[in-house]
Amino acid sequence: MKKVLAGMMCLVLLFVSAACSSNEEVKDVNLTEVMDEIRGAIEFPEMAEVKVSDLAMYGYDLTADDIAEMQFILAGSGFTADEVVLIKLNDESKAESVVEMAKTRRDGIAETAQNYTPDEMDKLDTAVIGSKGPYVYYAATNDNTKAKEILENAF
Amino acid sequence: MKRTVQRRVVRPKRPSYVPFLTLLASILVLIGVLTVSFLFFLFSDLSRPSVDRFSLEVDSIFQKVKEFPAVGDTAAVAVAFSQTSGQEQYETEKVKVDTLVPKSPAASDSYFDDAIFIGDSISVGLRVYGVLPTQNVLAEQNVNILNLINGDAVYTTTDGQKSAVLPAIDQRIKNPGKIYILIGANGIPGLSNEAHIKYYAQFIDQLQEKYPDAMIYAESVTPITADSKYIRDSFTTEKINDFNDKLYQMAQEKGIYYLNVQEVLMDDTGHLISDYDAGDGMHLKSNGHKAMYEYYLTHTVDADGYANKIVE
Repeated sequence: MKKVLAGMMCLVLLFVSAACSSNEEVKDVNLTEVMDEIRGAIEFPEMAEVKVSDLAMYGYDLTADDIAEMQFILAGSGFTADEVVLIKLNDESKAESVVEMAKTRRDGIAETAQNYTPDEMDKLDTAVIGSKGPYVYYAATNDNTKAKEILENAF
Repeated sequence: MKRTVQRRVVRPKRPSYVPFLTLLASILVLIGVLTVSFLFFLFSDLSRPSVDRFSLEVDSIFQKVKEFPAVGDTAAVAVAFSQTSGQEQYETEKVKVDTLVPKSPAASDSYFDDAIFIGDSISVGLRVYGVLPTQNVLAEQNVNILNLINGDAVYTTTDGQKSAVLPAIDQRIKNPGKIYILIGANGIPGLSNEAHIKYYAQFIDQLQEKYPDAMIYAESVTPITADSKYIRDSFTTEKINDFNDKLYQMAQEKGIYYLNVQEVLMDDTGHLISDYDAGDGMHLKSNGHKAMYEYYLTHTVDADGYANKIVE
């Protein structure tokens, strides 16, 4: 009997902890504030904003219907790898595939940078790529350690 | 004796009209003077030079035009006149443009509706900074002339596919009316200028074959700073300038336009203006791209091959 009760208590604890962790997943994040925090903490060259309608050109096979919210900046001069992407998806199940898109884009940039702008390789090698719930993030900056800290706190 | 009494008849005194007439005359004289003055003022303000004087002015303008033939162009002076745009006043002359595109009054943005801009990383900012619509700019890092003539899939279409330049043009602007090319910075270090221009000419052949009616503008390679991080024996300001000279000659031979966009980015020493430098001595900040766009707007050729050249 005691074993049955102990087992049931374990199950209850399991469900409670699962419920708690699921509450963390639905954390509502203001992407504009996160981007502002990153831009305030890290030095960037002159950056430009990417529109949702142009996402495909940057390796993200997504349409406006897929995106709940987005912040996407990149160096406009065409020679540095600085880039920060914050995406909130409408469908959380697509998050992993979007992470793969971000990795593929990073690899493509690195392939060019190896010969063209090798100084940028450090930003790409240590780029921060991840997801949490419906959120996907990518950051290649002058201070990826700081970017990682901000992003992991935010999500 | 009858006494007669004489009565003195006092007649009423006739009123005098003299003051009234004097006043009236004065008023009439005043009105006359004012009328004459007004008419004199009116006709002197609207007066035009006599026929002889006007002819003399036109002759002197034409004489001035003759002193400024477009470089490399057959100066065909059709008309000269003055225009006022804001505070700027300038004279223009209509010239037939053979190769070098002269400065002209700013065209409207719609001039580029049917234009495609082909380039490398230097042109990326035109798209990314929103200077030109995404649809009109084909630009990627590291693209060189060999990628273009070999049909390498170096450009990204708006739906995310990699594509060679010609199909990429079709995907953006079907049958472009104008094709702008800014290519060279990635090829100059590894190619002799002679070989580079030969390949460039092959690309022009491909474009002319596929788009026979398009106006093709070959742009001079943009300048670098004196301390650019890319400078080495095979990539110097002198080699860039020599490439541009040869590009101009090739443009003359191919019958395409040469757009010397380099001049708007260059300081007095022949190097990239430091305020436009994005940090590596070659690529541009957004203000450099905007300066380029202003240059494009003020160096246009009409569909008939003529331009309203500003006489400076």
